[in-house]
Amino acid sequence: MRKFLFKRFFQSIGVFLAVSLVVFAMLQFAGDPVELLMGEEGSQEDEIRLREALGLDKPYVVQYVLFLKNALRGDLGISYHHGVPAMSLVIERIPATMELVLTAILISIILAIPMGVVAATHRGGLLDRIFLSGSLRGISAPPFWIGIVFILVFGVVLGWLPTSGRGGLAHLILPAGSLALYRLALFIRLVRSGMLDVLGQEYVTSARAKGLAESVVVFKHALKNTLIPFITIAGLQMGSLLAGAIVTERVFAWPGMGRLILDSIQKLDYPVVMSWALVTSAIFILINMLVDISYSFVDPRVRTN
Amino acid sequence: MNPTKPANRNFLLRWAILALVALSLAALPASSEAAKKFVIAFQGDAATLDGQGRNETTTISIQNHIFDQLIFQGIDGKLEPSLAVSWKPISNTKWVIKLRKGVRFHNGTPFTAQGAVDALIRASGKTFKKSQMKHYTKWQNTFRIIDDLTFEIDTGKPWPSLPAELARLSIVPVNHIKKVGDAKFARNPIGTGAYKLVEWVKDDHIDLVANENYWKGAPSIKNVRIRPVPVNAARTAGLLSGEIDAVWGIAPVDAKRLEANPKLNVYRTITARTIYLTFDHWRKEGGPYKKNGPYSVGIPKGKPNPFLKPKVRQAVAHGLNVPELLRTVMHGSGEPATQLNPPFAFGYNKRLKRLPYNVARAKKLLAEAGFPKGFETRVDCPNDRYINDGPMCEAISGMLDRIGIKATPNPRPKAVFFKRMSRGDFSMFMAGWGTDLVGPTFSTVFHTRNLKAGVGRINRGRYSNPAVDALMKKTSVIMDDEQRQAMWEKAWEMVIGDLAFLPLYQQEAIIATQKNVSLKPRINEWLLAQEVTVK
Repeated sequence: MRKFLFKRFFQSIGVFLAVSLVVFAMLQFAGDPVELLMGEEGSQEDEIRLREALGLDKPYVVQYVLFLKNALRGDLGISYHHGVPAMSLVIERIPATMELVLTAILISIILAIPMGVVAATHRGGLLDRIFLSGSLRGISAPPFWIGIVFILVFGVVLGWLPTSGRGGLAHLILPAGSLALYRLALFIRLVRSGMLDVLGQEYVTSARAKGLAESVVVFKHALKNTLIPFITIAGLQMGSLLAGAIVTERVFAWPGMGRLILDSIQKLDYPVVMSWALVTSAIFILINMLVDISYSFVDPRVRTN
Repeated sequence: MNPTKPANRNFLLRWAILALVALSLAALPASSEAAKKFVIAFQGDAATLDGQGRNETTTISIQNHIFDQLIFQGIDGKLEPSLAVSWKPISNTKWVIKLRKGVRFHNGTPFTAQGAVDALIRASGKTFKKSQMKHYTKWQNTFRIIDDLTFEIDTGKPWPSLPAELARLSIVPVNHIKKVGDAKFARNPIGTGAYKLVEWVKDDHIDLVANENYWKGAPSIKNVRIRPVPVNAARTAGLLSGEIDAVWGIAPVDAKRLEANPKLNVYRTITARTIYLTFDHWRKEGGPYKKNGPYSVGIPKGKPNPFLKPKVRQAVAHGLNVPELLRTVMHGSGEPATQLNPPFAFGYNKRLKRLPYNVARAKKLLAEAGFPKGFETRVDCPNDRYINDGPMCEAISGMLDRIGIKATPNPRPKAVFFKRMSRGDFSMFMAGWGTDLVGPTFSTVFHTRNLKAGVGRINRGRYSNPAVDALMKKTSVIMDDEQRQAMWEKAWEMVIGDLAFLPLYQQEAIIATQKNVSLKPRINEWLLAQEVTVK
């Protein structure tokens, strides 16, 4: 285990370097932050002074080396637009995104597993057909549209829930619900197809032949064996959402990382974008590690390997 | 497959109950505390709450709940006494500013002449490098304090726009900032303004409470919550559901529908934001883009640059039916513009007229200019900067097609667009200009581009008319208002006569509120809770 963590740690340094280099290079093609920062009435002199103050007058290579040097000391720069340390802006938003994403993932997992199992055990039945066609719609509907429809129906027409912002638990339902919808649809299909695969295998037949109760066969023998691909996909989904559920956060004015990064990219706020990229890769690395570790709980064979 | 056995059902039942409990836990009602607050929704959040840290409309509008200026820009744009009760020039370069008595910052510190001078010096960048107000303090910053409530500014050379510029400089408590530091102040500011900051949760809300000791009298609305809601539809939904009391920035497409709703009020006003088309005034012929290259980029290689000919620019003006563009693309929002400043600006020329829409005349002018069959070009636009700018780009292209100009629309995100335009990657482009200050308009937009001398930064098409430059120089130091007004009017006639830029329209600001809320919309787009009344 220690060796495993150690190896992962060194791999992640390489990932950080690669990510920072790629993001930095991409930003150079994106446009000119000084142009966007300048007040309209500003003169050329103001522009030159601003460029110098931000260090953007230096060659790209020098800028990148300076960035790395400062980053090693834990300084990722000051946000151009907010005038405060960029990293703190990103970190401040982690709880909001975490709250939204964990709720959404939890809802979708809690609902998807029984629904997927029922769909598989009643293959071709009414419930199976409802779940299948429903999940197809869930996967195809664009999250932006789902968000707006949720707001319209539950916020405006019925007036049950607040339409935007973060506050009590009531504020969480619509954004988490609309975020969960796609994952739910995806997970149902994943569990269903995994179950169908496993249910046809010989050890299931032999378990049934032993006279085990159907529930034991389904949940202990079959379901457990479908969980590995499920955990992998769920982990990846969670990682990409934690980077910021960009569309959902924007529609519901949720103060999370997705909104920050979208604003920052539009305004070319380099330090914030770089900080976000590093935080996001850290989250991905961490989640992948957790996924790998969780394999060993689900499947003992992984432990011995 | 086997049918489900009872044991299986049991498991599912347990799971369903667990799920229900989890979901209903999440459905607990929201706190009712938010209901008592007056909620204003903007499109974005304040970038900073340091009154001198960012020059951008939303940020300034939010900050002006907390801060005052020496001089206040009233609802109709007129300058009104604020922390200063009077400002008078005593010579060509010296002004005496008298301050209001008994004004205090939110922490109780009295506001004095020394405090005012310290704040102005900070805005100029000397004690605050990140000040974004530097370009309003280009006058020589020499101050002399006469007494506790009086000081003198020596501007070095005649500076008639001083009052207008003082109206943009927020008075921040410099002694307090020295104690807490710039970064802390930016998150937790105090000012002399109508409201005190209670709490700022970035990108979620800013809570304000009335300053009961405000020198203008305490505002009638006591608790205010300002919320950034980026998506237009979501802001409108919040208004319809009753969560939001006043919404800044209603999309023109929604405005008509909201106007028909008896539960709401909709307020419209023309703003200083003027959308224009401009042209390549300096390169001789078309060809591929190169940095500082010789070719006009939107024109095919080897073809002459048609925009050098005044008749072609006139043809474009005659070819665009701006009222029709406003009716269709802008859903009736906006006013055709005759110059780059709005009608309420000092120096505005009321006599200027737009060239009328006339396809036959446009075609004739093109033929006279040597383009009887029209020509090919490109029209560049941003697509995320102004209201409906992307569709507007397409519509302009379509209209120009009718007079024979094949202008391929090239809309791009603002982050890319402005950089490319500054580098000269265009032959014709659409953009906006948003100030009511005539001096900076001429020196940055119309003056012959000379970056070393600090003029012509936005003159991307490199229009150059020495007569305009000379007139500008003379006008900017005339202290007499009437004389200066006449000279600016003359300058407008010259640049618009040349079609240096082709002004298209002034954008509208649209605010919607609940029926019991009333306000007067401001020409500078601020939405201030202290100017709102609730029945």
